[in-house]
Amino acid sequence: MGSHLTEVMIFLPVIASVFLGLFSGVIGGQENKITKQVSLAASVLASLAALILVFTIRRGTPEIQADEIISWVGAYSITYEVGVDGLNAAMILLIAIIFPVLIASEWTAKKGLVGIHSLFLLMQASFFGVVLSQDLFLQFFFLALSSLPIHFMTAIWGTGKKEEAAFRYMVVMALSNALIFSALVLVYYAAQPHTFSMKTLAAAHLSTKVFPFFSYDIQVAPVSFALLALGVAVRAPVWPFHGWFTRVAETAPASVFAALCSVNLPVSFFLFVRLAYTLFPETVTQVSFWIVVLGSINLFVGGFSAAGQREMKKLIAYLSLTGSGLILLGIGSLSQAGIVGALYECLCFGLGIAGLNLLIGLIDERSGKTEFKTAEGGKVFGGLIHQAPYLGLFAGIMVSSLLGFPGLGGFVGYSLLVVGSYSVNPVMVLVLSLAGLIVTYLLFSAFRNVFFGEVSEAEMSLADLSLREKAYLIPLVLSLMAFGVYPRPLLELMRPTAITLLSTVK
Amino acid sequence: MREIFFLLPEGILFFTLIGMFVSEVAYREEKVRLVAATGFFGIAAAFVNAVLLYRFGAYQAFDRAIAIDGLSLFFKLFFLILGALSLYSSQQGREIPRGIRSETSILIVAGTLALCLGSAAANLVLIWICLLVVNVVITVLAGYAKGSRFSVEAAMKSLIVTVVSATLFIFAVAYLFHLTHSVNLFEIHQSFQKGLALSYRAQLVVFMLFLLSLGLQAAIFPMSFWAADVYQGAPTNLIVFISIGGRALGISALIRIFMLVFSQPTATLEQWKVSSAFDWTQIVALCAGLTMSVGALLAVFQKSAKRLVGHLCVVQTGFLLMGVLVLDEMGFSAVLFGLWVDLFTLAGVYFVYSEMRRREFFVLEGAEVLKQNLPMPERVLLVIFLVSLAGLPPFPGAVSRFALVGAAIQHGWHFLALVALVATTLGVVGVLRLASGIVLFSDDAPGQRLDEKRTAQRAVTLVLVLILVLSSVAANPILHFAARSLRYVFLPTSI
Repeated sequence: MGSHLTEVMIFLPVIASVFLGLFSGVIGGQENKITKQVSLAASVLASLAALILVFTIRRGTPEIQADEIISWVGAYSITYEVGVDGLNAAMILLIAIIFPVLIASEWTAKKGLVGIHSLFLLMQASFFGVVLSQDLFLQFFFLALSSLPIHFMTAIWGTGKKEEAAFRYMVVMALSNALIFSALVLVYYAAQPHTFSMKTLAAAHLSTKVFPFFSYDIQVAPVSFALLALGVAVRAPVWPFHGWFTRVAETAPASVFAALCSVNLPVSFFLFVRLAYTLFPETVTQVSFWIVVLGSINLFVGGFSAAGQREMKKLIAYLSLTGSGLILLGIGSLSQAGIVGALYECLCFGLGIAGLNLLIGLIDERSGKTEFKTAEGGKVFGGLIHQAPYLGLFAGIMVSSLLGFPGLGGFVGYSLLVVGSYSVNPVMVLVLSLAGLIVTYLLFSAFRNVFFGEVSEAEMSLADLSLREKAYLIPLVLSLMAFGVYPRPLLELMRPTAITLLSTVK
Repeated sequence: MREIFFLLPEGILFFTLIGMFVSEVAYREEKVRLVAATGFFGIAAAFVNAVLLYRFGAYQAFDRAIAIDGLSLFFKLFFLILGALSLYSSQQGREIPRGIRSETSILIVAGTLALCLGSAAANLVLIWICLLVVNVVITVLAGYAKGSRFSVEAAMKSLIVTVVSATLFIFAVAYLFHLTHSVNLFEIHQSFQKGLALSYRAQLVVFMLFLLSLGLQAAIFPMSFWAADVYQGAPTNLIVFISIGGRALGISALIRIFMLVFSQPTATLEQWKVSSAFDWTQIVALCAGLTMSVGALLAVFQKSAKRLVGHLCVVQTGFLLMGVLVLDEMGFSAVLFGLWVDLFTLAGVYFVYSEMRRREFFVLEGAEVLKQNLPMPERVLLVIFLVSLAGLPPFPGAVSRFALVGAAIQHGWHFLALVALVATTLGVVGVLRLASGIVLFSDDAPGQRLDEKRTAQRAVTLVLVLILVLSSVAANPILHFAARSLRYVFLPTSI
């Protein structure tokens, strides 16, 4: 049954997307209604399949489960190989929760509803494909596919300098894909016999392989790792490759930027963890310190840059950079708690940042503004909690989770990162704490500026969340609470795989 | 009798051509539909016959002038599909008046006949004649939009390419004949196997003449600059034939000539090796790298949609060359798979392009675009084809690019593989820039709305998309079929 669930997860959104894209025009006047129903139904069904899959697989084992292997291009040993284990379970949950929410948030889009829903479905399918794939070529296939929708969504539905932002995004993704593909091709040809299967490659001892390049013998593992790391850094993004991210933040619709921050970023890091630890464990050991350093830089750059922002969307963009930093700290910790914490943080950070993005989008829709501070330091908004108490409540929950408050998912991720970092180097705990303080200050300042204080005259007409808006935000809130109050099932699922990964390193 | 049997597809096409001439002359009001319909039936019949020929194995006909082997049959099927798609495309669009479309149909079928014959020819003079006929057809087709100066310019450039390419080719044939006393590729190959040795200089001259001639034909750098100009100026509904036919025949001739004259088989059935006194693969590698990189760089900065696709065709030629120089079955099968993907991708792009109203086509000037009236389904379809052309998943262009890059890496051409990846990245940038421009700016301008129903045209374009998707999913059988097609290229004697 598990393999059928993976098929539903990947192919149902694709089929729905194709149906909407090509046949909605012939349906006639009911186009928007049918689009909404079909897209939400397909997304929810695929997500339900994902939830059933994750909650029914066996715990306490690092084995790949619900696996499906079909030969695709046998001449090049490319297979359609998918499966679930502890490592991708968190990402599956993230994608399953986020995408129906994003689709529901674009309910009243006036122009091109069919297009935006089709593209979200395509993204959902491709991200599911990325995290489920156990074949490198298949994984790259889905990864490249996942980058296309955001380009078009930004270019079509964005605002301001949307074409420039979409162009930058496109260039960056093309570069990232080229780098990652180069790494995969090197790995493929280094293994004998040639294969893209991760299971086989894990046993291929790539650290001993060399390839000739202009009469020099180049080691496969470090070069492939560097290409992979660079590709992921550009894509995620990681400082100093984050310039395109802030441009997209300014121009993309809130739901699209939410997909970028809350899904693309965590999935990129998941990809890095999966491939780096499986294929290049020796290289990871050698560079773990630098991964931690890079994470720290991201934390501080993101934090300080965010602290200087006056505009909410850019604040979120730099907050995402701090999220990247936190995750990198966990990845570089080479500890079980660190890796599990990194993936848990991916999940909870993704849920929290998605919610915050959507709420900022709602504020933008209602008030036409996303600035919360004037150039002179004065308030733009104020006292929103009085006009829109539910808006404030939901925003408060998202902010609290991002800050790692107890009872919410962010707290579990953050705690695991602290524990994992301490075992490596106690100084890292200091770094984490300092970064935490900066982020707490900036987020609280922004939250206070917007929601508390005197009511600004201009915002008297800001409406509170409607029933539909509450309906699609509640899954995010409930998920954050569930992952914060009862993390045990997921942690039990992730731990054995993390231990197995680390055993190759140590 | 048996030899005529093996040339039945060409015979059917020949009689189809006669039928089309008769239809053109005899019918008045009905000729537009009848001529094209005759052409379609003829091509369909030839296609079925060509498929059946696979059962009979390899054969050499007409004193070994015609090779009926896997390679020629693959290209026959390829060219017949191209002919059908080109015939369909020639009936669409607005650049050619309806009254003279029957003329273009006849030219396309004539060109298809020459393509099929050329791909099977093992006699160099016959190859030359076929190349000449195809190029003349392309020249005439390129100039068919008589009111357009771009079309006239395209025809002139195509004529120059035809003349130069034919001259260089016949010089090569003449010189080779002087050295080997034969114009038959199999006999020449046998002579070399038996010990005939040419001097280094002679081999180099012959090779360079063939490379320059076929390089012009296939648009290989530095002989590729004509391609974008011709593809831009030619009538859009005829570019399918112009862009694919000439290049594919050039590649087919290049494979056969390079394998039989400058290579020899090794003990391993799937592997060949250089047999000339100099390593010509180095020269081909340089050409491939420059073709890919220059083509991609030029594509990125294009403001014209047709020129951009023209440059991407050149990039694709560079990729195909990579598969040629590795001289093994995997590489060649990747070339054939790449051509297969190109056929449907470019056909799809130009099908949609030909629906655009304006003759001066879709120019991107910074953020401003001449507004084109293109309904949303066509925009989506066009984006799909452009994404496939760029080599992005989930379309078979990605598998094709991987196969070609992989072949290069496997044989130690690492730098070339790197150039290929860079060229792909640049190509992606160019394509997505065009794609987002198409989606963003193709608004319905008042008074220019497309009123006629386009169900049939959309259905055909959807079929192309389906074929592309199936080619991606079923890439392995196609690659396997392509590999099998190469098994019998070397035939020492006729059966």
